[in-house]
Amino acid sequence: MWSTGIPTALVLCGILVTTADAQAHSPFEGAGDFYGGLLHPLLIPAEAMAVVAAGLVMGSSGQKHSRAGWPAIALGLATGLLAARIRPASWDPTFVLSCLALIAGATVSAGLRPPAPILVFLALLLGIAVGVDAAPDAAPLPAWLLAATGALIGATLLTAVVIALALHRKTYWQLIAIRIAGSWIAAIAMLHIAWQITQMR
Amino acid sequence: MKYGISAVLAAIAWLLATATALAHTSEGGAGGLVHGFLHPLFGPDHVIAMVAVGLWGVFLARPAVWVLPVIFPLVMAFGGVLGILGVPLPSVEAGIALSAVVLGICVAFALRPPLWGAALITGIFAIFHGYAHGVEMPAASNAVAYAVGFVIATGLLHMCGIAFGLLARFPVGSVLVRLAGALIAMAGGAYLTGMA
Repeated sequence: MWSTGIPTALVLCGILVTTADAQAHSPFEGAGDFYGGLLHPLLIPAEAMAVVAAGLVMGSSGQKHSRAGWPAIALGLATGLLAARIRPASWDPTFVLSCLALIAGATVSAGLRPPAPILVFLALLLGIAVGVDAAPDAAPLPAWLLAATGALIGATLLTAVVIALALHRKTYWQLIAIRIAGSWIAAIAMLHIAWQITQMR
Repeated sequence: MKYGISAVLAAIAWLLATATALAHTSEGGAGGLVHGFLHPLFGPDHVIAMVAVGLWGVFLARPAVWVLPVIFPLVMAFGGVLGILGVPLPSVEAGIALSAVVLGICVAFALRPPLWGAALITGIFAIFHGYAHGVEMPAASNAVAYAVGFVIATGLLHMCGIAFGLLARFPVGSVLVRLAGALIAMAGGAYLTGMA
């Protein structure tokens, strides 16, 4: 019971608690291009929330679904990063991130296992949104490549870790811990969406 | 077990890898997080009601003990959305105080309604608690961090209630838990009548 349930909760709390405010565009001053990109999805709250939600929904849906979903999120990330390089987003990716995190979090909290095609589609969308949000600012190509590669690796690794934690649930308590994490993510996303709506007014 | 230890170490490393403490700033993500985290903790009426949810869950047993902490944040967030959007909700403070009274009584008498009934009672009160948090949110420097802070703080208060409520397995512990419920109801009454 204690082998993964409480550590899972601790890791998820750690991810959420250690996130930082978005800055333009390294998550903290002094980080190099690659390292800044690597940490970006881990330290920016909206991205971390979306990536954790994606990992939870895939992991709680089982190994088969995770095998299909994980490459989809990596593909989405690469697409989002490239798209933002070609043409910077004219829309707010954090709003989309919160909407997708709400869907994923609510799915996990309800204990639902979406069909694989829907899960892959959701993972793809989440990946694109995270990629666009994590895309480095206009920079020389070598620096951009380093930062984008870092962001891609950081987000896919974080997703893999969360998938692994969710897949290794064995007891009733661990299952509930995952559903509570999904519930928290859905609640946070719901509040963020409402807050962003007030900012649009 | 080796997997568990490595996961704990990873979590600790993550927490240690955070930036320097920003306890005295209200700027940026850390400010939003701290503000959000402390908001439920600095309101005693919030604290006792959240702990009461956890305590009551233990008396309700499975699956309610875990269903309530899953449902509560979602309904509370709905209340928060109402607060953020400025939808009028009457008697918010009275609703919060009343939640402590009702939930405290439920714990004190170890009431065991059907799951839907318990979910309905806690859900209604969750809206008042969420609303109070939500109206504070537009001023927060970082909305996501603020939301993360107060949702986690609320969840941890539930966990505290559940942890204390586990004492109810023992005869003396059961008395203690029910006594805690009575104290919560009395404290809620004091808030409701303006004595506190």
